[in-house]
Amino acid sequence: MSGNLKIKDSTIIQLYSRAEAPCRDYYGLTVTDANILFSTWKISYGPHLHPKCRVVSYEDIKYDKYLQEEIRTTFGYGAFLFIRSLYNNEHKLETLTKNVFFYLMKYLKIKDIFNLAQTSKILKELCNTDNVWKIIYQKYLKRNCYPDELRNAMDIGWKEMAKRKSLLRKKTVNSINTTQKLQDKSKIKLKIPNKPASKQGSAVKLIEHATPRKPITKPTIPNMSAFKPTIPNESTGKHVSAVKLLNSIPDKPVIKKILPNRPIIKQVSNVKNKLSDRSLKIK
Amino acid sequence: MSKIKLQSSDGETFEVEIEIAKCSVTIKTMLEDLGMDEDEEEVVPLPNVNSAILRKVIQWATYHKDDPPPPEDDENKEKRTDDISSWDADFLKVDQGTLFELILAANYLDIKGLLDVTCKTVANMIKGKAPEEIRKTFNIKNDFTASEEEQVRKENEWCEEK
Repeated sequence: MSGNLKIKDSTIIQLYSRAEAPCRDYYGLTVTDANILFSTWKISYGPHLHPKCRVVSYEDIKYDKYLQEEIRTTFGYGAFLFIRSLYNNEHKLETLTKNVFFYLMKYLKIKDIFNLAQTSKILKELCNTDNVWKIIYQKYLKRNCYPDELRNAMDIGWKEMAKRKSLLRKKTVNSINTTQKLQDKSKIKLKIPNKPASKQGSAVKLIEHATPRKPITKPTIPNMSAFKPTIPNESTGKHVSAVKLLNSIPDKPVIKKILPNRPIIKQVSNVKNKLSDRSLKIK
Repeated sequence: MSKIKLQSSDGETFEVEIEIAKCSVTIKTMLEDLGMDEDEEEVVPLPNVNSAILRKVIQWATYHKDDPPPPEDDENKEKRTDDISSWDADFLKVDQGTLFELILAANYLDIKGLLDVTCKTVANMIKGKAPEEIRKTFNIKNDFTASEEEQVRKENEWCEEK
């Protein structure tokens, strides 16, 4: 039992493969920092066999052309190249030890890690481990994990944690966007009655009309309540993080709300020009 | 100044001042745990580092011997990669194999400063590049089919709009 645990700890990557239909033979490849485990379960045709696992050291596989060929055909050329650079002790990005690879990931942005994962199957696996996802999770939230998050991650893994967080964020962003659209619509309605008034009033007065203070502050209150229904979607026992999220997100719409004012200022200047044109004509 | 002998994996010995050798936490704890007598002619074997890399590591440690200890990591903070000194940048103008060997040696010898600067150099080779450019930089063979590549791209899309 302890032997198994040791292998699990030092695992670099695990690959799975199944023979093409109609065969159902199963293949598994586990690469640890000392050995290569080649598992086969030939179940396509009888008599039924038990799964088998061969454990081969780097030194042995170096001279085992048959096994090399079998890995190449079942797991592809990329996997074969990876194993070859391991037993030849070549120093590449892929063959950096686990610890060093994580350390390197800490210097990258999430986008860079994903780009790296897109380069080859082996790097996709190396970037797809739970530890790398923990780094991604922390980078995504720009903070360390809370103890309850560590507990949740033990059950569902960091990849799932990150995906749930991003879904939650998407929902809140969407609700912000919809409330903002509603606000924009209400502003257009506000502007129309202002226009005839502008014929008589000066441009300075128009700016006061175009940026009424009350309609901006009012919609933030329904905004807050729009957030609340999204909280129960997150897994339970995360009250601390949920409260933090609530506190942190409502800041954003306030900043964004300044933006819709811009076209209004443009319109003001347009009206201003029109006004000056008219005044010229009158003169 | 008392000296110490370090032996590389291929048998070459290097005589180094103890203060310089102690910037490696691995060697430092080894000396403390074993209580090696400084007067004695002891040889510290380093079976994971070859002579070419050990020579480079000693060169780096000699230049940086008066540096203050690197600050503790703040996990929270985005790590900078653009603060490599010009001496280090020149020192790390080596082929990729050597660079990765230096990373592994720095990790094995536990020299945080050297590990940081080498990782930053590699990170800069990845940062801001498209997958195809990364493949070219590190000579990675693309073994995805077009549809598989599209699928991986889609899987990782959720984060892009951030």
